[in-house]
Amino acid sequence: MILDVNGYFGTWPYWPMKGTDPQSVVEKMDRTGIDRVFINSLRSVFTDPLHGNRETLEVVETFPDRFYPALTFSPYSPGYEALRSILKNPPKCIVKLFPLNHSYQIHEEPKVEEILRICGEKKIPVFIPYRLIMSWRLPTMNYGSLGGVIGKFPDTHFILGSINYLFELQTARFLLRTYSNTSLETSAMMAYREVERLVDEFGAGRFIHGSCVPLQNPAIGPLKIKAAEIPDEDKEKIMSGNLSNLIGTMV
Amino acid sequence: MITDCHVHIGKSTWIQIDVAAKELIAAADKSGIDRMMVTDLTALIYDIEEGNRLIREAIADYRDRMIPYYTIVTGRHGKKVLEDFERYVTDHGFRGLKIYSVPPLQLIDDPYMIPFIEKAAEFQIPILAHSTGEECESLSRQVPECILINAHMGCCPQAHGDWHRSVAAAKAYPNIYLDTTSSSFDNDMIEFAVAEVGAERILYGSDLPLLDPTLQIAKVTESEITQEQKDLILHGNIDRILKRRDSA
Repeated sequence: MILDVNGYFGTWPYWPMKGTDPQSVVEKMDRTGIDRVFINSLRSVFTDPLHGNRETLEVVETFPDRFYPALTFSPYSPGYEALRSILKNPPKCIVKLFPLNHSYQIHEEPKVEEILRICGEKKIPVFIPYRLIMSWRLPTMNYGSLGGVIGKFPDTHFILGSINYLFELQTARFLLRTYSNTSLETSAMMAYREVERLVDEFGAGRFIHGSCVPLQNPAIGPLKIKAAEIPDEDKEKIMSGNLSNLIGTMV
Repeated sequence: MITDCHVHIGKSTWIQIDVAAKELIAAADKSGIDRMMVTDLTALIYDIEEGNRLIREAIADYRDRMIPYYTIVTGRHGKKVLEDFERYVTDHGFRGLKIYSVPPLQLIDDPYMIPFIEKAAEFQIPILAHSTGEECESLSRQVPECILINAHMGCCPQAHGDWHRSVAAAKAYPNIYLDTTSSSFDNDMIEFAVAEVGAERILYGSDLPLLDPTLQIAKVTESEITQEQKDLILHGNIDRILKRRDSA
């Protein structure tokens, strides 16, 4: 069983990219053995969180066995009240925040705090990508400001996403070490033997598989876990168990 | 068969690496890599002469698996290092030149670098250039007969991750090759490069021990290109380039 916490559909604005419609994403999942993806409309990232969330829910309705919704909002775009309404009786989902793309600082926004509080109550995991995809041409978030927010919402589980190596990984390691309500997603983790080092340091329970399908080659996400020299039960936790447990506790 | 055109050995505090030849061989064995072209980190970021001496000593027992680059961080040390480079190629079997762009401090198309590029062209050995596509174009204009491998095909911070720009440089200049290693696994990246410049101009690299060679190999094998094209990228092209020195 392979669950994937980090997938998208829609238009990729920066260069032509094939196969980003939902049906093509499913085909990529089939080719790479990914059973189910938490999927997120790119429209909600770039132009319209309200309409984007609706698209996401429609796509999940069309492919109920393959997708779960990843919902988002911006404090400065329509969609906040609609998201609050969805979260009153939420489907199995995650909330994904894009401060870089929505132009805000995560620690300065009352509406963000309210959503984080609700996610804590409902046990909805919150995914915060350090970057949209692992590309050096895209901006990265200031993760230094995250610690205060994570500490302020101990009942909310934060998934730190799209982190690669060196400086950025040291910050993520600090957050993992300091806050037990955090996990690290694996889609941008490319360093040699990094999975082994991190599992050795924190245990496999702190890591969640992500592929960033279809923006990144989805074969790489599962491969980096399968090829890692860690016990099979640790691989299972990263591939699906940890995320299943998080979603399983949703209220 | 896999020949890796981009491997590091030695020590760097910056990328938190301290790796010996034996460990690289073990990693290569695990990933199925037959031969590696290797560049020394000390030469790249600290002391050119010391670093190139270190790699010569470090890989002495593994010359069937490891092919050394002569590595320079700058051309500004001039004639002394140029003569050292010449000696390492003619006397010690070094088969490449590694250069590294450090913007804004120094770019690889710095005039002081040109004698090294000319010498590599004369030797018919490849130059692994960690740089932007624009810098490779500049070097190609100045020394058209050089064999340039654009490291990471633009997927590095110096080149702002712009692999489209590196592909365009390779399309414009037939002596520019593209090295596949990087942290980026963008959908369609390899397919696009193959369509634009042909598989004959693309070389597999891993950036071992910084990056995971198993994933870097999969970047090629899991792309939607033919097996023949994959074989060219994984070893055929670099093997062909390395033979040019023998026939020069």
